Amino acid sequence: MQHDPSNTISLAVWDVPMPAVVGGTFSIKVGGKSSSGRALAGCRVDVSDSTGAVVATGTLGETPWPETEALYWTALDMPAPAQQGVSEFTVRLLEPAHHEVATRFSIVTTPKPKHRLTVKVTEQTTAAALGGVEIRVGSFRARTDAAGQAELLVCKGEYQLQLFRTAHIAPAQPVDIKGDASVELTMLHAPEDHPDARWVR
Amino acid sequence: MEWTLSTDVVVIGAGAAGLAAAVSARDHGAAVVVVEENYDIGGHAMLSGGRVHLGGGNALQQKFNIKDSPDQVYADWTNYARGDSRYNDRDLVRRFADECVPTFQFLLDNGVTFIEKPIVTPDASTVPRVFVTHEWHIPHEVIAPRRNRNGSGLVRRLAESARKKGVQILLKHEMTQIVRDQGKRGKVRGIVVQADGKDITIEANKGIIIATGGHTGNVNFRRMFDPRLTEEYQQAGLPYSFQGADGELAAMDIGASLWATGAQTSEVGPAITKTRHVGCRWGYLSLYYELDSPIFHLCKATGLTVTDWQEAILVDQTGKRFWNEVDSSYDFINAALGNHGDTTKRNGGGPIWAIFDSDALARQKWKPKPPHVDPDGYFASADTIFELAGKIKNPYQKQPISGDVLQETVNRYNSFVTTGVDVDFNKPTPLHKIAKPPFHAAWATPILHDSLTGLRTDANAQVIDIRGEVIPGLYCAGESQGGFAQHGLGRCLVFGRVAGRHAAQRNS
Repeated sequence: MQHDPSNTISLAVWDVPMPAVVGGTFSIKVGGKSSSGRALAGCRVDVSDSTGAVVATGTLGETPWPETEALYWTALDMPAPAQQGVSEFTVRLLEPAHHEVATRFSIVTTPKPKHRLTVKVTEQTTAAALGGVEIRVGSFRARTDAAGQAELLVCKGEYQLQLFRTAHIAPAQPVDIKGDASVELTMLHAPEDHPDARWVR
Repeated sequence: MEWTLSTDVVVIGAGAAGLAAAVSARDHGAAVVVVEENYDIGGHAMLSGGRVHLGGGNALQQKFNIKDSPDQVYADWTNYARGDSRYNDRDLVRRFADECVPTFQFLLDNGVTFIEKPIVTPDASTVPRVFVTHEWHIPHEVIAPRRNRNGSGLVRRLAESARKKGVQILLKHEMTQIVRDQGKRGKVRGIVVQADGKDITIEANKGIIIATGGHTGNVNFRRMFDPRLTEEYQQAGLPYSFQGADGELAAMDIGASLWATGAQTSEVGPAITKTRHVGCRWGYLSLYYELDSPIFHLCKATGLTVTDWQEAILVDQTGKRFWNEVDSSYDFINAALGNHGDTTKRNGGGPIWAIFDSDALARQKWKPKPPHVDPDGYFASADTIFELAGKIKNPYQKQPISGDVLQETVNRYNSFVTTGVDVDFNKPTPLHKIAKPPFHAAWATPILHDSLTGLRTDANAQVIDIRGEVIPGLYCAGESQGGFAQHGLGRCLVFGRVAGRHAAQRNS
């Protein structure tokens, strides 16, 4: 990063998919901000893989990202790694008046998921649908809607299905994916202790 | 000395202990003056949950068929196996145990009403002993309205009863000195207070009761017990009730001793806690100031309530993570209070900041604007993580956070979300990347609550000097009293009542 506080450029990378498909393509968003508020529209950004090879390039757009002061951004399509697993990428902003500005992000890649896993989550005692439940099945993830439902595309294999929701608990559930599947799961509402009682003995 | 006022018993502080002492002394025939430095009564208890920890077989325990006895209370609170009971002075606990039932009745007799539901607390008690008072019924007289701060019902009722019985309560009167006769056995004679910039002297013919509420807010004093607790750690209860150690200091000036000081660092209960409401200066667990709080102009912000620490990472004053964020134990506190690389200040850990992104805001429905957050040093937003580091400016943040360091911290954490494994601090299944702009930093520095040590007293609440002798006429109750490390209102009420009675019965 540039350390002249009056004229520093920094980057953000977001909307990185979790996961990407081996050999496929995926999209990310990249934004650049000048501390002076200068418009960075038109600045070039490159993405390179761990070998240094540039795998995507683009230019920042004309309109700042919503809710930001002056974060000029663009969406980039790029090829996913050919191997399964975790990969790191470096994003660089190239702007003539500056040295190179860079940051990095990581992504996990899997084979193309072919099986649809439908998950419905209800509260164990009341049977009420639970929205906002974070679901993790290996590298695959989803969040339930207001009806307590979510769909994931997953690969064949054995997983531990994990559910996360504030003030709710559920043990990890083994699932063996051989084709499309549906599971109905419950979480137990474990109300937060009265704040005065949140002590540790 | 010439006295401006003369009375039998002077009570310093109009919180739970002071009001109980005042009513008790009046009930036993004494003329009573209470001095209170604040603009209103109640002290810390005004902001408490109103959880009154008295057992021994009190009237409501009997109604719910809860088997209890003074002996069981004594056994529980002297249990060597627990941190909140092993350090207690057993003479004090014995008196507490024997006075629980009459103190509960004393509260009922003075108009205090309770919700009829026993509460189990995570402390030394082995049976339910806590009942909660009703919140005061006049909304604008509740300092933290609609947030179960039911202690308002306790202190308002006691103050109402005290006034009806003839107790004089002097608000905005700050005690500055306790006057004692010269010599080893010298009696205390009265106090000096400041009001409207003038000194007023009040003679106490029978006794002076210190009920000033503890020392947590006095940085120099609290560091006697824990040198780590430097100025960045805020005191729960502020900006309403300041625990400034006034009573302890005035008593120590005339020879008083402290007692059971190890209890302060026994690492039990909410003496030091994680912040629950971030982005404001005072984010104690159960204390939330709504917009219509009469002191909201001082609080400045409600804070953003964190119910799930998966939504943020916590970084120290150098921008680095230091512990698993979902842990709330004293392991977390100790990590937060470690030295985090500040070579100019070895003690204290410096500010702790919660870092999160706009996705977290959306999931939690947090609003990153005033009055929800306090941008005057306790909350910052920026378009990038690098830029956010430079926007963190706070009186306790002595050096700026490096943007590169904070960016690296976030990048590394995001890689843990990718893999599902936090190899640095073992946060279980890190769920959310901190990636979508804008980004936010919110004050999340641990906050201090209980004073668990204070002045040495005997079982009659008479203050003992550094040679082990009673200081004639001087008493102490509440969080300024040492020797009984129980959280909450129970010990304050019992020893307030004991002190008031004993003082009233002394010969002038």
